[in-house]
Amino acid sequence: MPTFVFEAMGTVGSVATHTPLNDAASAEIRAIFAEWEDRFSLYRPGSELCRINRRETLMTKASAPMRNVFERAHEWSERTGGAFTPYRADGSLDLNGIVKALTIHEAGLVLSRHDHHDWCFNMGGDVLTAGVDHHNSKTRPWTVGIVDPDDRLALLSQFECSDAKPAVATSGNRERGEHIWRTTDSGPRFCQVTVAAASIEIADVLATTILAGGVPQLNACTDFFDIDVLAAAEGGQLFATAAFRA
Amino acid sequence: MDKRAMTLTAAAASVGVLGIGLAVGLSSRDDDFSRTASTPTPPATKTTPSKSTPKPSGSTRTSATPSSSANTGSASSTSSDTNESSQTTDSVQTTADKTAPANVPTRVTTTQPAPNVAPTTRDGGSGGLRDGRYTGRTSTHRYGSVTVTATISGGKLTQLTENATANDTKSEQYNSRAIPVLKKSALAAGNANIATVSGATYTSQAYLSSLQSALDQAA
Repeated sequence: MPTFVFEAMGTVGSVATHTPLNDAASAEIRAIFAEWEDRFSLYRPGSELCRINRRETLMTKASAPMRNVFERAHEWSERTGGAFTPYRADGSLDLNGIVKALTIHEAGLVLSRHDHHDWCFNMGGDVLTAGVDHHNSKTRPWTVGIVDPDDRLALLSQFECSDAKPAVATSGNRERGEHIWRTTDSGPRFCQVTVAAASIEIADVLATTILAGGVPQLNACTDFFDIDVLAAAEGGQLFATAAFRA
Repeated sequence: MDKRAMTLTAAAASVGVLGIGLAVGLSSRDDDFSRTASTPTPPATKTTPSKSTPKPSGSTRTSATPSSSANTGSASSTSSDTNESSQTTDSVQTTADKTAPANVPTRVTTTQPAPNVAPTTRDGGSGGLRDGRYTGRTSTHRYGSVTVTATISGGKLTQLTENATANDTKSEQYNSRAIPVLKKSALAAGNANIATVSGATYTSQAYLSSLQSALDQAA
């Protein structure tokens, strides 16, 4: 399949489509990532989020996209009982737990607008799909392999995407160091959590939530949300919903 | 946090837009009404939402269902209507009828405060609640939904009705749980060809050595 590869948000995106993306579509996708990164980056001192954290801009005077994402992050905080939080330990605002997913969603809308109906968008390991995979003149569901956290070149399992669950996101603490604050000491510690869900936003937020919240959050999230989960604990133990079990 | 706590929180949020002390009635409806009656306490402390109660700002959106937020995708547009609905009870009533659950109700719980124990208003008394029945947004969870209706009579909250629906069986709930499995069981679940790979966020540098780059070349 033709694949468009680009760099953004400190990682790599690849977009596999049935027919090649035209230049306009790929330019739009780059532009969306650039715009969201400009606004929400914590590494660019001039970003709107950095200005807010320096108190140079008030949230009440912030741009509509900023306020919308801020509100959305708080909504997720409520829905996860505070396990997902848009704040760092020092109290500064960090919306990165949700920004990448929302950007992927926006980019997916670009593909639809350009009449692409079968595609797979992988942004640094977070995957959003649409339609089916055209493979050797046949079609099959988009199938996502899940990396083994103990052996990055091996797979732990896989997930077949569907219209009901087109998105798969994985949170872990290996490649970028321990960047997620744990909210529980109960039970085994997860080192990697994969969530498949109806949207990349749900998948990404809940993968982060479960990684931070351990088994209690795993149970709460699988009770409350229609998701599939594969969670790897330190020491090699796995927790899996039906889709990830043989 | 169990499912019930979450649905109640969501329900409290959807009714909370009425202002006043409805949150008190909801969060403590099983046993606290009598306690409130026997030991009147200053309204300021009694009506402060408990820790688990969402803050008023933005709390009305707690009742959004997972699927609806999935479709909304981009953080769109509801901050303004949140503000409006928290100021006028009329808009609450409007949303009520639209969001009536499609499922057959399986359980209806009614809570009736003791006659002399109407919750105080947030400012200590003078706030007027308009009489009528107000139905909050339906809060949907994986196995059903909850809709709370509040009845105001004589300016006071007189009745809360919780309409809960269930659309799945107990065994299905159990099956949705993530259970401990052996690695070989997970590996056995993955035996077909894959199109892409999901792993913890990899950096641009690591990408070159990652499995996905190989897949991109093979695509």
